[in-house]
Amino acid sequence: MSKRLLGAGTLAALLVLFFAINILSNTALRGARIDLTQDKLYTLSEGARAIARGIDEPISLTFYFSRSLAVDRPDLRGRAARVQEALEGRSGFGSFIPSLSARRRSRPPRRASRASP
Amino acid sequence: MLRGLRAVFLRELTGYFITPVAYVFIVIFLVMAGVFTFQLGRWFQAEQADLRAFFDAHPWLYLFLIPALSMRLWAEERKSGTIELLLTLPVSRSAAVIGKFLAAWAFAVLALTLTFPVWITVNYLGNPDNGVILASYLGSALMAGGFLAVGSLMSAITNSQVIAFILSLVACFAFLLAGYSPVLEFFQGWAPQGIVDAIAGFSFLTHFQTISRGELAARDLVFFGSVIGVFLGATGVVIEMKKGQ
Amino acid sequence: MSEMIVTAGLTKRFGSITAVDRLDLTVQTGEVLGFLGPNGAGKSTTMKMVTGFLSPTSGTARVCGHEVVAEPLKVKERIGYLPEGAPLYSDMTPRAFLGFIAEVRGLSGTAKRKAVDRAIEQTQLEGVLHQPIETLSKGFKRRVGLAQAILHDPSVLILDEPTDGLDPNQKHQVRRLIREMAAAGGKSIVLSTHILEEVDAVCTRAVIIAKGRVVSDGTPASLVAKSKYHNSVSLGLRPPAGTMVFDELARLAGVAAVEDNGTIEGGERPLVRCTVMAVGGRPIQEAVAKHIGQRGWGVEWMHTQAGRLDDVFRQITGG
Repeated sequence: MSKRLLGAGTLAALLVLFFAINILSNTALRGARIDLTQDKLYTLSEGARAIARGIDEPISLTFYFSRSLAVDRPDLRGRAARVQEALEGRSGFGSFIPSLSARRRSRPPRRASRASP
Repeated sequence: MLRGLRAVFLRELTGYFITPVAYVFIVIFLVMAGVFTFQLGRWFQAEQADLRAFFDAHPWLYLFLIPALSMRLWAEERKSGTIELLLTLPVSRSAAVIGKFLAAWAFAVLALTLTFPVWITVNYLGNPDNGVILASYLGSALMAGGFLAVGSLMSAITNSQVIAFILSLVACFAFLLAGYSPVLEFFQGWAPQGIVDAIAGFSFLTHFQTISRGELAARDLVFFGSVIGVFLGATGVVIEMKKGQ
Repeated sequence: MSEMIVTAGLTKRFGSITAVDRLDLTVQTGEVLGFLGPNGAGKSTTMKMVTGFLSPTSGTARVCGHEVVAEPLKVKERIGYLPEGAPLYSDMTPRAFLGFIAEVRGLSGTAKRKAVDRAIEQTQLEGVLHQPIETLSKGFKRRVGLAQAILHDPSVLILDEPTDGLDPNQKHQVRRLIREMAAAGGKSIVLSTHILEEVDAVCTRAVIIAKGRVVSDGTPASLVAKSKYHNSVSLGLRPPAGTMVFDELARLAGVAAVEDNGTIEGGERPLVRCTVMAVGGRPIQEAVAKHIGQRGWGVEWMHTQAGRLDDVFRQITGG
């Protein structure tokens, strides 16, 4: 009897561990990635950096994203999360973008006239 | 701790090639991959030098083919009685579980590798981003491993291969579409939004798609790694629990 | 280490059924123990626990000093086990299968080749080495199972019905192999069987279990001695007509009873067949022979019986 209890307990522990590992890595490992594309699509090129360096005034970047519309599109939600991370400086773009003093808005602006969920 | 791993791994792997099952599986996989890519995916008409259509098909191919592979992992041993032989040999439980899994995974990866003519074709016809293709193959191999680990647990739970197949199919389907309507709706009614969002993050499809865009992110690797680790661990526990019977 | 297998209070319950009930058993080096019992008595279940396949509900089993639940791998290294029904990986050939077992047992290279060759030779598998196991006859399959059990020359051999399904020749060969292994020394062998003559032929000790408990434990000879037919004398006589054969024989000292096995008419004198049972199984043939000689009865045959194991078996297990 106690063996079954031990087994069931271990299974429950494994389940918890599974969720814990992934939730943890979602936040902790946000930036860790390798860009394998030949054209280095996800890494900022030297040219782009040079251009941006040449600009004196601060650049603000606003990111609009509607969670409610993206309910059925986890791929878009994932993409949005990555854009957000890039803006925060946690991606192949390094801390370059935050230094351009970006501001991000991840909720739809109150003024936006979109149909709610 | 991993006593006997090599012997079990080699035995299982050669076992795949003794029977015609292996060859049938490979042929079906290659043919279906071709059908999905060239016909359903309209690859030629799209005139794009990438393998998008090809890799898009993989999750769906795996959904049906991998449970067919994994169902024999443990249910067969129980049915034929060889499990009594295996579990009384000086092979640690972990070695048995991991050895069988690795053999099945190696076989799946072999089937995947045999699709290389498609890669050669796309490079001959155009100039694709081979980094993206490499990443996609890696993602596909990891996804296959994930499906296999789920299938391994289902196979350990039951004595019947048929039931193992069905259970795996359902479980893999749930994992595949974790971020999408059917699965989400199941949870949306009663679970808090935080949980629902978290569940969405466990979709095989989204993780695979991320990798196959060309970026190898640590957390995608961790995801598939954790699926494999947790499900193989659970397989071991279930095997041990069923020893009481 | 002389105590190879020791079980203490070994118990196995499946729900409400107690298959093995606080079994205490010790097997020494050099013993060949025959495990007898009706179906469902708990023989196989006990073996499955000692080999680590089933976990006991309570109690312990130690093999060569290692406890099965605590040190399963050490126990499994030292045991060669032939499970009930001799399960095998049927898509492999005997050679491939034995190669796998050898690898699992930690043998490689020359040692592996030698061990496999020796096992093949001892179980006479030369002719079928390259056929898939599923195509082999039952007898050959069982021999492959035996080969994998003896491959690593284990100090403990546990065989669950090793001659089941074999023809008389094959049974004889397997029993001879077991005797050879016992003679080689340093081993303990436990085999379960339904075939009582096998116990006599091969075992040094017979343990009868019923309903999960040991009901008898001793040498085969002592077991046989418990039979009511032990030292009984079977007679075929031609006494003169009118002789009260049974009464006379029954009155002899040491005679417990006389069984009438039927009288055949015909010829000058009828043939009277009977069995004279001895009190306490003590020898009575001299007394009987003397009496027959004195009375001058014709004797067709006269032989003393050691006793029938299946009677003892039935007596003890209440069948």
